[in-house]
Amino acid sequence: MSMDCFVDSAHSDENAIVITPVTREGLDDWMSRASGQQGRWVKEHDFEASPARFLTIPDESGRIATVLVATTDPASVFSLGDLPAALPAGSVCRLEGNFDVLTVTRLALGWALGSYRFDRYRKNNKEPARLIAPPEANMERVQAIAESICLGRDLVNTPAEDMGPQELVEAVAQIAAAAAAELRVIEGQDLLDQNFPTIHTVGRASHRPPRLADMTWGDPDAPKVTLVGKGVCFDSGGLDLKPAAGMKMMKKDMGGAASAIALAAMIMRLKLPVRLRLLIPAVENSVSGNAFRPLDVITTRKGITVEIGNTDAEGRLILCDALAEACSETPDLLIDLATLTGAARVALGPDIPAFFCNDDKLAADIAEHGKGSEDDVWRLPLWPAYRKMIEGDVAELNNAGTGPGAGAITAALFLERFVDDGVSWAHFDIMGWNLSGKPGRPKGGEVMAVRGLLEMIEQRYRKA
Amino acid sequence: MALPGFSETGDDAIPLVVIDKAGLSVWLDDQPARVATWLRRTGFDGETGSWRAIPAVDGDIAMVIAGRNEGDALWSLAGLPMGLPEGLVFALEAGVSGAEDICLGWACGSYAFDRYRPAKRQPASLAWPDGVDRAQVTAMGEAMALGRDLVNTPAENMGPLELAAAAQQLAEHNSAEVKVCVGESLLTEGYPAVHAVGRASSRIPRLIDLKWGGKGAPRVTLVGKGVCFDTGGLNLKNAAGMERMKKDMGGAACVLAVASMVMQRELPIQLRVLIPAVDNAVDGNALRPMDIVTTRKGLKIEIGDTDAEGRVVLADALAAAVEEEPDLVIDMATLTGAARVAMGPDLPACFGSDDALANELCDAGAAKDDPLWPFPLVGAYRGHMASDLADTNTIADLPFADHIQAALFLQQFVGETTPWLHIDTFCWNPSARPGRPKGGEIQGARAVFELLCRRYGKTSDD
Repeated sequence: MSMDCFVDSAHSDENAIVITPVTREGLDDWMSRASGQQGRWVKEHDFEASPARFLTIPDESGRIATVLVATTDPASVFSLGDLPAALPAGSVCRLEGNFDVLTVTRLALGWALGSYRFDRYRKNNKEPARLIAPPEANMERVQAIAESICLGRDLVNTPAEDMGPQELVEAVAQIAAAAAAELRVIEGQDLLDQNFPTIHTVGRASHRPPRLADMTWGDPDAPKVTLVGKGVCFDSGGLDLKPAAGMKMMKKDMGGAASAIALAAMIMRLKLPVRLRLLIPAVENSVSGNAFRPLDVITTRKGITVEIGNTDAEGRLILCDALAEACSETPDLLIDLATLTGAARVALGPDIPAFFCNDDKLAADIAEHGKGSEDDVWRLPLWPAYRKMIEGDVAELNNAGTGPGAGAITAALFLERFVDDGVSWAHFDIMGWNLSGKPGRPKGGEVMAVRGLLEMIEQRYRKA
Repeated sequence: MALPGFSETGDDAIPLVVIDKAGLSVWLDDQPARVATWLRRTGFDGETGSWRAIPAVDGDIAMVIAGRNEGDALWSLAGLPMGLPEGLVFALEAGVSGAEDICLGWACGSYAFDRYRPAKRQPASLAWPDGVDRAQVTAMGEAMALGRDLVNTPAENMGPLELAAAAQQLAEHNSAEVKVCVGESLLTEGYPAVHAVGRASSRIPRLIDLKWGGKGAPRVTLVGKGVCFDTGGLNLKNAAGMERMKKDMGGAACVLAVASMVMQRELPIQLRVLIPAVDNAVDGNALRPMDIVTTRKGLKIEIGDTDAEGRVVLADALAAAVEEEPDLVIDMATLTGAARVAMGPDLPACFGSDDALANELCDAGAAKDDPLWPFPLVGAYRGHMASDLADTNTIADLPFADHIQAALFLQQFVGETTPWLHIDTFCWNPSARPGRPKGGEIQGARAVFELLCRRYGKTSDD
């Protein structure tokens, strides 16, 4: 994907629309320098630079000369997010104002994120406006982040029919090829032969065989960072079939995989000094004569036996084999991302991923960088007293917490059993979807938590 | 008043030895071989919460040994009062660490709700250990028992009148003043939302207003949700959801428990307790969905669901609380199912007007084995409660995070300037654990008391 939302910074266009971010406090200053005609226009429209507002201002010939857009101090990454779609098709824009490199880079990133459209199945008849790449901006970074996020959004938005386990693994192959990473794919029966029984069991009912993608990249001696993403390409619930309302959006149940793939792509493009590993268990949770059943018992890769309390708690099952494998090389940092529980949405709503972490320092870093990059996440506890809620009757664990409540916590406690002591681990329970459009975040598939994670990882492994 | 489960004298008491798992073998080195044999044969390994009676040669109980993890003092021995034989007195070794926590756990574990039938048994007694602040333990233990009794009492016997009577009794005991605004007076004295929610019941609604403490001290106002029974109103709950709704005054029980601790321990604050006490009932005059209520603050609220009534009665109480600009307002409420879905039964959700304040409360709770978990007041979710006709709806158009939405709703009545904590609590033990019998529970009260002690000059261990 190329970033066609930007025009090369060498481009000079005298007709370019001037975009002027202005804070509520800075509006008076702008007004004092504006022409009488412009000032009147701004006053007439009651433009007060309140959040997410913008105002187009005409020149004498009736063309759009300037767009005043509300921003904050420091500037929100999403300040310009509405503009690419809102300004006239094909228009070229130029950012004006004195911004430092960080700020202008953030603004450009918001522009790119707001330019995203999913047009695989129909062409949009309106081309988004384009921005002359601000010369001060770190465009390499903007493109690495924005293109990775847009890739992830595409993966989530693509209907399950066209985004099965094979296609999801192909997406991993695509980023691996671009960065000369190594990729191993274990497919179907081979999952049993190579001892990934849980992934196979969950995925065996689909005519599209389950897979595990295992990608490695970077200096083998660098600190090991391992990402795991839940790739349930469609979740019917299995024999514990979901009702229509619950099943409708289940093409997004590989949102964790999409987020992990996006983060991996960023890490490789920005060449972070880590040895990266990406593990994506890719399955479809289907109904068939050979579907796994409630109260079946699976012996997992780690050897822990799991009783199936509910076939619709399948995400933690495929993750448990991947996490066990991830721990086999004792990574310095282990992160998994998953659209795992409805309880996490009840806990924090659609916009804020819940995360769990066995390392307080790491948790504090994650929260701080999430906040700093406007990619907020919120920590929930691995509450020890709830471990009894996931005990099996005939096996060591049950995959469905008995409750009452605390479904996101019991899912995390389940995963915790497959992470080795001493491995710094964070688990993200995300929505993977924007229920409504917001600036820079169009309705539909979304990659969550990873901009903050990228900054956290950059900070953690910054060379001295 | 004597606290159940304690004995004034340790004469003839049976020794109670507390060990941690790692220390068991060292302890056994000094014991006769038959003690080690007995403990081994009966599978005692010093696990926290486990205990064994050790026989004397004549068959009497020579001593009791109990396992405890360091740092787990409160609950590790709390199963003993109802586990050891009744009628006997036990005595801790002199100088055992965490004796005061052990005593409070013992007090909580001695609790039984015996209003409707005699208790199955009496607790075994613990001789007051030397050096333990009996007044402190007694104040905490009595406050917990008071609160549990209020929650456990069936709604028929714990209506708005009886809840007010409980507050009056507590006030009398501590020389506090209490004023109760009853029925129609709620309309003339500016509590229209409390009246609107409670008007359908044959038991008229009330606003309880308790004041205690010297002028000039920092002002702390506690607000407790006192919905004595919550049918849901016209948006009637189903049977499963209605079953436990006698506990919907749990927030009121919690703030009365905190008030009891504060007054008994004479914390140097000016305390005010506000409790809207109502039944959420069904009747011809019941509040209806999409009715609009003008609240005390003047904000007009559209009733999205009559079963979101707690936030409505709290709205008036919080508005009244902030009028006198207290230093701190804390409300406690069994407010949302979402908080339980999110956190399960053990962890009340807490919200603060700033993150630091919420973290301060959570730290205080963690220090006192009364855990809470902080949640964010997510600004981006504010828009979901917009009303077509009024200033705000009472519920959100978003099927998620109702506890956050409820907290955002309440924040509108607190305003920007008053430091405020909101606790969304469960007040119920779905199953019994040591020191925490099944049924009504007072969650968050000890955390709040510890926070108040830390802020206002005394530690709760003083």
